[in-house]
Amino acid sequence: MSENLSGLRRMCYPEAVAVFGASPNPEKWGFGILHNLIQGKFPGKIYPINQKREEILGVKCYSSLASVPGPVDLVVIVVPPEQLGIAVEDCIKKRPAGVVVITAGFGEVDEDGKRKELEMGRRFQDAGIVGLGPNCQGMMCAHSNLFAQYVWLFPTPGKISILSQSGNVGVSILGRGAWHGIGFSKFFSYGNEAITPISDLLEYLGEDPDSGVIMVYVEGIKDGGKFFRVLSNVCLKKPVVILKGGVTQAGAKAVSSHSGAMAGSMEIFESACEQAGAILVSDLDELFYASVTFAGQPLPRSKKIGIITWGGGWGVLAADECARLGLELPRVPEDLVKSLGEFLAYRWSRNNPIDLAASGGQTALIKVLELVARSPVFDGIIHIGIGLSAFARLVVEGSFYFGRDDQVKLRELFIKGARKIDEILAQKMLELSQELGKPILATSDTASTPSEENIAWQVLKEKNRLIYPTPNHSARAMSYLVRHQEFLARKNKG
Amino acid sequence: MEVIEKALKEKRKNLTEYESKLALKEYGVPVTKEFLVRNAKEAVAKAEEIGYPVALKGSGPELLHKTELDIIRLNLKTPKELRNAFREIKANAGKKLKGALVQEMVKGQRELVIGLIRDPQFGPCVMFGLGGIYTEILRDVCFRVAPITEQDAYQMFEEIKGKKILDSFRGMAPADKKTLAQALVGLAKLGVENPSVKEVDVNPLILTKEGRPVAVDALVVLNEEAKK
Repeated sequence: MSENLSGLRRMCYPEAVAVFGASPNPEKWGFGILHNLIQGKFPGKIYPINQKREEILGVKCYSSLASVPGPVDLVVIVVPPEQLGIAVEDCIKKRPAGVVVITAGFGEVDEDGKRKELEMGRRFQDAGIVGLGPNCQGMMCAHSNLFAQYVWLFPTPGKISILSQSGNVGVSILGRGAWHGIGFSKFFSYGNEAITPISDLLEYLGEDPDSGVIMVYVEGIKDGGKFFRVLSNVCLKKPVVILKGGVTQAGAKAVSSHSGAMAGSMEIFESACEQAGAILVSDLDELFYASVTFAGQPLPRSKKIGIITWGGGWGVLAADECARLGLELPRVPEDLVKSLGEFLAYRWSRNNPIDLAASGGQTALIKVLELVARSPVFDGIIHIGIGLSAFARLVVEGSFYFGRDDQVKLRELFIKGARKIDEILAQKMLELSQELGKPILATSDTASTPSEENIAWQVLKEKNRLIYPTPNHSARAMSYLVRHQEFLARKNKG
Repeated sequence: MEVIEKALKEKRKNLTEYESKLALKEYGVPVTKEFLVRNAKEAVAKAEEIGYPVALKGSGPELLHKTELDIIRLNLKTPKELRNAFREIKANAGKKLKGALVQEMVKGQRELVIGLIRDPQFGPCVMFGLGGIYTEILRDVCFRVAPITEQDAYQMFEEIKGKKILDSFRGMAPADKKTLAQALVGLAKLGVENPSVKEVDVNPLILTKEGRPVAVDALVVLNEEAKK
C-alpha cells in the first residue's frame, strides 16, 4: 500500500511524461492531451509516442516508449482499444511510476471488456505501477503544472482535490471553480478503477500536503469495507465531501428480517459516510459549495451563528434554514444592541437576524460587521448585503432621471461610492475572519456572479471565497462547517 | 456461542425467541424477564416468581410467526387466566409446540427497533429507529457499520426524525440512553464476533414509563453459508 502512495506521489509530481498515442489531428484525444500538457506549462520533459511523426506541436516524437532516452514517471495511454495490449507491455518494460489509461470500451461495455480490464489492472499491479482508468479523461496537478487531461481547463493551484469516477462530473466542478476563480490541487478521473483502487487514491490525497479538501464523486464502490476504513482516517485529517450517484435498487434480495428489509444500499452508504465523518451531499451544487467553503473558511468554534442583513426577507430565510439545520441563533446581547442603536435607525431589528432595515447609511454595513464579528456571542457570521455597486448600477442606469446625460457626474459618484463600500466590506470580511478565526459567509444575488466589475467577488476570490447566491446556500455552507467541527470535537474528546 | 452452535448443528435457520434473547442478553441488550416452561403448572410457578401480570407465548423452532399462529396471550393477571391461555396456545400450535415462554409484561407506549444486518459491501451494520408497526410504515431508521462506539450510538439517536421519542414526553421519563447505547454497541459486537448470525431483529424494544429499554421480542436469523 505505501508503495502505491509513493507511486501516486511520483505520478502527480513527475519529471517526465509520455503520451502514448499522441496525435497531430486536433479532433483526437491524443492531440488534446498533448496540447494541454504544453498549454499547462509542464516544466519537465514531454515525450509524444507516435510511429509516423517526427514532431507534434513542436515536440519531438518517439516511435516507441523503449526509444525514449531517460526515465518516464507518467505515461498517458490514449490508443484505440485494440492497441492497448502493446501499450501495456511497453509500459511494463519502461516501468513508469504511473499510467493514465484514457482508452474506453472495456468494463463499461460488456463482460469481455471487464475481463480484459481486470487482466490489464493485474499486469500493472504486479509490476508495481499505479494508475487511473481505463475509460477516464485524465488527471491534473495544478501544483506541478501537470495537466495530463482532455479538458481545456487550467485552474490556479489551490486546496481542493477532486476524486471522480465520472470525468464529466469532475470537469463540471473544475469548470465552475475556474469561473469563480477558485484554485484546485488535483483531479483524478478514475473511470473503471481497474488499476489502483479508489481507497488508495483517497488515502494518497489524505496524506498529500497540497490537498486541503477532498471532493468525491462515486457511483459504485468495489470494496466498501476498505473504503470505509480509509475514509474514517482521512476525515480526521481534512474534510471530505461526497456525492454518490446511482442510487441502486435494493432489488429482490432475499431478506428474512425486518431490519434486512429496511437496509437499501444507499441507506448503508449514507450511514457509513456519516459515521466516518464525511459530508454527504445530494447534488452538484452542494458538492461545489460545501467543498469551496471548506477551502476558504475557518471552522467555527460552535454552532452559534449571527445573521447580518441589509433587508428583512433574506434574513428570515437564512434564519429558517439555520433552524432547520440545527444551528443556533443567539440573542443579540444588551451591550451590542446599545452600540448598534447608536447609528442605526429606530426601525432596526434588535434581534438575530440583525436586520439593518436599510438604515444607518452606506457605511453601516461595515460598522455592523465589525461589531457583530467581534462579539463573543457569535462564532460564525452569515452576511447578507454585499454587492451594492451592481445594485447601484442597475438603479441609476435604468432611471429616467439619473440616466440623463447631464447627470453623468452624480451617476458616477453613486456607483463609485457603492463600489468603494463593496471593496472595504469584502476586505473587512477577510481581515476579521482571519483575525478572529470565524467563518464569515457573504451572501448576495447581484454579487454572486463573477465579472470584471464585481469588486466584492474579486477581493474574496483571492482567498478562495465565494459569494453565496441565496441565504439557503450560505446557511447550508455554515452547517457543513459546523458539522465538521463537531465531528472533530467528538473524535478529540473520545 | 452455545445457543448458536446448537441451532446450526440442528440445521436451523434461526433461533427461537428464548434463545435469541439469551444471545442478546450476553451482549448487553436488556431483555424481558422470562422462563421457558413445559406445562401449565410450571408456568404458574414461574409467573409467581416474575409477578403478575405476565405474557405467555408458544415456543418452538418452527413457530416463527407467533401473531399469525395466534399463540401469544398478553396481560394475564391470575393463575386461572394463565392456565386457560396455556390450553389455547397448545391447541393453536399443535405438535410444533415445544414449550411456552412465561414473560414479564412490559408496559410502555414507546416502541423502538434495534437490529443487525450484513451488508455485502460494509459487513455487519446495526440499525436503530422507530419500532413496532411504525418501522415499516415510517422507515425512520439509521445504520452504522459495526463495530461501533457509544458515541456512534448517541449520534444514531440524533439522526432519526422521531428522535423526540427519547425525550421526556407526556409524563414519561426520558430514555436511559446509556443503556440503549450499550445495547447497540453490544449488538454490533455480536455481529462482528458471530459470522454465522445473518440478521437480528429486536422489535419492539419498549421504553417503559421510567425510560428503561427492554427487548420484548427478538429474532436471530442464522447464515448457514458462514459456517462452511
